[in-house]
Amino acid sequence: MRKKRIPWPRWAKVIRNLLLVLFLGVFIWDLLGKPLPREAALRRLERQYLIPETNRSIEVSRGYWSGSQRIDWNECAAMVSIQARKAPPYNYCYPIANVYRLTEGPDLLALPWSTLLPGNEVGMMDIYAVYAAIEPPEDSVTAELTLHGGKTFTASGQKEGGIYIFYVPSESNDGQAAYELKFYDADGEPLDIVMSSDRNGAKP
Amino acid sequence: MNRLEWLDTATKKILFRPDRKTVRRELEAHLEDLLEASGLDEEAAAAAMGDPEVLAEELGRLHRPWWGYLWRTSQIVLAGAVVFCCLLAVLVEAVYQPLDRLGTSLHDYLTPVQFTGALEERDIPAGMTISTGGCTIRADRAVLRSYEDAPQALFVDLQIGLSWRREPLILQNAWSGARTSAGENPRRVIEHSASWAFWQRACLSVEVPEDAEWVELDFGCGAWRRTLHIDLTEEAEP
Repeated sequence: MRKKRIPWPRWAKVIRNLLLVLFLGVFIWDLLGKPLPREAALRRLERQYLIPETNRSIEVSRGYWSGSQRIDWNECAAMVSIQARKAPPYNYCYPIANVYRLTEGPDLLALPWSTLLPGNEVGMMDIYAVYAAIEPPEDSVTAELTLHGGKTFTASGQKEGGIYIFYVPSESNDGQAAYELKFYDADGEPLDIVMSSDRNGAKP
Repeated sequence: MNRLEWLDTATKKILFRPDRKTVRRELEAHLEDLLEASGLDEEAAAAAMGDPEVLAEELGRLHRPWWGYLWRTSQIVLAGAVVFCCLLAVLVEAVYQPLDRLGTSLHDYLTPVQFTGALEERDIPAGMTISTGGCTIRADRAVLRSYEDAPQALFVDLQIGLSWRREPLILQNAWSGARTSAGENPRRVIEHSASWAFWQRACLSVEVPEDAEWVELDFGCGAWRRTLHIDLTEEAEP
């Protein structure tokens, strides 16, 4: 005679069902490429790049991007990321990040996305490349970036949250230009000069 | 009170409907047994079963509805998850082909990297291991290859044990540098990289001058920087 199966107690069925839901949830998440919120996705990129957790961060707010550019850095590396626009195939939280090795002292990063500036005349499409000087001297009040490309171009930095941002018209930025970065104090005295020849942080 | 009224009253405080139906069926069977055995009429048999109000209180206390509601909710959620999962699996498979990728990555992981064109190959002792950022990087094999028309190069097969998060290293950045005893920054290439579950396999190559005695491969930066030191003067035992 066939033995009658003892029915599961109700609490066991509840736990079984919830475990199955959890398993399916993890399966779906895995199928979608393990999307994470921006912060957690950046932490994951750090782990995949073997960079210790970054402890400084700033959002670059000027300019028109599809999302804001964000710079995260620590003593040895900087990551510049942007929240991808919600369109296929990036329709969930995948930050795209560029990584830069840093040296001691100020470093110049070429942000990977160009921009239009606020106040751009209607109908004009002046596109700017964006550079960020991180870890400037503490006493610095102004900064100046000179690019020695086909022709020499100088831009003044705008201080945003302790770093300097430089907007360079695209036609003056050939991507491989040697640069000179100068920081000045309140009296206009130069505090520090950084040359591209002694830095490998910036990869335009 | 007739039989149906008695059953309704006795089970009215069991709030979870499937439980109420089951208990009602059981009570009804008892009532019918009593009717057959005693020859009483319906009302007398119902009265003999006891006070339905008292029984209702007792049954209501015994059959708390929460586990029932929770069970039903878990069933609905599970059914929804299954349907959603099936639809999504079809959609995601159609757009992103993750199953295809899964198969390809397993194939890539298992396929040995083929190298051709080397005039001479010399196995270097390997097996050194470093741990950083939650993963373990082990040089499984190191081979010095000489070419007729290209500089000599050291090829290192790495076996990387990933952390429980299963996040493969992005070697373009995680492999932060290389040195030889003859100089800094030799030409270096990631020949191959594939991951599967908790493991990643990679093959890296570094250009090595003829007179170099050792090669160092750096992984990570800052506090996470670790170095694999490979001595080129020794030859691996066959």
